[in-house]
Amino acid sequence: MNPKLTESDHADLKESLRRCSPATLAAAIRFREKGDLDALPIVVFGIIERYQPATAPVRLSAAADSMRLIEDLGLDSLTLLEIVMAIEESLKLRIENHELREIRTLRQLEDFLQAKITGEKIAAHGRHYSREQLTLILPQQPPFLFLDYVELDGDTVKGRYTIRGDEFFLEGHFKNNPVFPASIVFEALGQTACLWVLEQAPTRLAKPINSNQVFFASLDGAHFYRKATPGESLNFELSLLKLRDPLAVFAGTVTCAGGEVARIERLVLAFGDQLREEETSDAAEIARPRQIQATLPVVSRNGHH
Amino acid sequence: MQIPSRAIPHSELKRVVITGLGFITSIGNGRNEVLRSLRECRTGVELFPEFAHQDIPVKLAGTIKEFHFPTPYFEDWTHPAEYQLTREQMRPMAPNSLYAWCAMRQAVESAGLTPAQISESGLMAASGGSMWLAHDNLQTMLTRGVKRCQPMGIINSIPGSLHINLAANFKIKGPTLGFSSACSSSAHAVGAAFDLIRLGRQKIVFAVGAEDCNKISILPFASVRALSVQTDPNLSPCAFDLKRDGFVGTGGAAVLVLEELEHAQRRDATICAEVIGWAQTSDGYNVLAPDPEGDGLRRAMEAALADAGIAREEVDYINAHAPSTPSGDASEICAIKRTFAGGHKPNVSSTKSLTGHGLSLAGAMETAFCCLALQEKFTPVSAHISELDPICEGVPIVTKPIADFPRILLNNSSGFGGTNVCLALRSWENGR
Repeated sequence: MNPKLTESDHADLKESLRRCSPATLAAAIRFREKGDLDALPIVVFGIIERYQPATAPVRLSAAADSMRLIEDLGLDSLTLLEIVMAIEESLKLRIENHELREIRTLRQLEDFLQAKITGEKIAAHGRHYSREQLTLILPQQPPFLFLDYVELDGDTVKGRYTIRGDEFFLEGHFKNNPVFPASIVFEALGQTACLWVLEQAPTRLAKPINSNQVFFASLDGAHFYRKATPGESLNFELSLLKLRDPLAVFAGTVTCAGGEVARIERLVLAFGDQLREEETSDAAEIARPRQIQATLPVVSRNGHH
Repeated sequence: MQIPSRAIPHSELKRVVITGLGFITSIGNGRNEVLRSLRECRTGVELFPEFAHQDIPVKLAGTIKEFHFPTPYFEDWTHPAEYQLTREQMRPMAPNSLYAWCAMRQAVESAGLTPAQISESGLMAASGGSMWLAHDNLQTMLTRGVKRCQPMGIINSIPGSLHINLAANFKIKGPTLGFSSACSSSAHAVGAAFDLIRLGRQKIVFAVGAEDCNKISILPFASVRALSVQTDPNLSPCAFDLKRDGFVGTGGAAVLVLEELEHAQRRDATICAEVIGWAQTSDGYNVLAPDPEGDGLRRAMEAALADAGIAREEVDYINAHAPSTPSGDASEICAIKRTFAGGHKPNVSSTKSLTGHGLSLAGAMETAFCCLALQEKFTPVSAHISELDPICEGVPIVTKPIADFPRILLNNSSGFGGTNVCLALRSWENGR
């Protein structure tokens, strides 16, 4: 049980929540004194609303969970910083820079705070991405997005896709006999790996990676064991083998109803702003198994070997 | 000391004119209001509520009307409704940069510049920064912790805050500089803008001066007894008067658009005045006090005349620095007497007696006033003189409105440490 707030705590809280609605202040007091988790979204929304520019394209009250803070709600990165400071001060939390970088949507912000306060480690449970969230992060978009859900946890990333049956290519693959193509199964595994690169590599390498800067480089030891048909769910699982700018190397498996569908020994993605066409094909060359067992050549950011 | 001659022949330099003005000043927030105040001798000085406390010996300030800064949070500030700024624009601003943003808007409009022309321009700006916001930011850091500092806590308070804000807001892509030479800062900015165009490096350069107007920007001068303790705004400031007892602080912003003559003519711009020369010197004497003989300012005036290629006899008017401090005014009178030692003496007045002393803003503000005097054909009056200081004998101080108006004038500025600037301007009539 948290002690009752003192008069000076009240004054500080009022100062941190300047220009927020009285309901926001009341919720913050409820949270601080009683640990009421239901008050949390009220405080967070109240703070965001106070900083949202009047000209924003979407009002917060009409915003969905998947709304992106910057692109949809019209907040700039500095406003986000102001919001974080107000949240830190009013809820007595500390949000680290690297944590802040990973928050893109309203839902992520709420999840993050909830986990932070309840002490559940987000990392231990992994981070979850709905299909809507994935469309905000991945360059692949419907009808060529083959993921419904992704869970990211350290060096491991798991994805899931349920075959609808109305995918455009099933009409001819095969006529009157819809079978999910092996090439698309590998593509979906690649999309899962792409999410890992976009979400994890920037933090680990301390450099930004844009979604249009991730490229398929090579695939080695690819095996396909069993076909999958409409109604079935494919489960993808990848483990990072190596991350070294500008390459990420994964091993992956695909399962369906407990049975193995496919396996890849080495899936290599290349990323970065300086990679040109020929360099990505170089990277594919480099990534051949017998060469990769030697040291990976380091490609510096300006593209010189 | 020898007066340096013009390094580059006159014929090789571009001619420079002023094609736009902007004012947020104690005597008006726009050209028309300022003009009326200057012509009708209306003071911008009043009892300043921020000085109401009984322990504060100073009571007057040249207040900026229609702007209010009740707290350091920009969201609590108010300004005239005609100026629309977004949160993102306001967040890195201090009062000085907000005033200047508004004055820039006027200047851009009066000069009729397109966004592309603004982008090609340069910006020479002068401000002392916002000691008020700096104080608040540091107070927050020291009492509430480093992580509680405002993200914009540096950008909104350092002296460079002015040109940082203006260059980003107006998408200015030419040279951008801040000047810090105490009370001659923005006169230096005008001179630097003039040189950039004269040398053919820029077609258009904005010269800007701006200062906060609050107790933190003004009251520190009380510690050197530089501020007037008079309580009647109709008696002080009173430059050249025997009873002058110090300056009255003010803030605000002034913007001048300096433009190459041919460029201005090609686009059919309205020309307010021509800048014909300038000079800068230092007293090399004392950190606070001016040289009692006014030697540094005399050299500045003589060098400006040489730079402009005009004779002493051609000067009709001097807009004196004259802050209404006992030593400052005396030193300047001495400098004027020595510069104009022959028969001819130009009319002299201090417009600070109406506005108060704008510190870094003063030089640009008074150059802009001079443009109005040249364009509108009047001689600004030196207000509040009931008993002229006898040291002024022989110098025609303009104590009352006169019919005479200037064609060529000098504008003096001096600052702590003995920095002196003299700018020479000529009226623009019928294409010359």
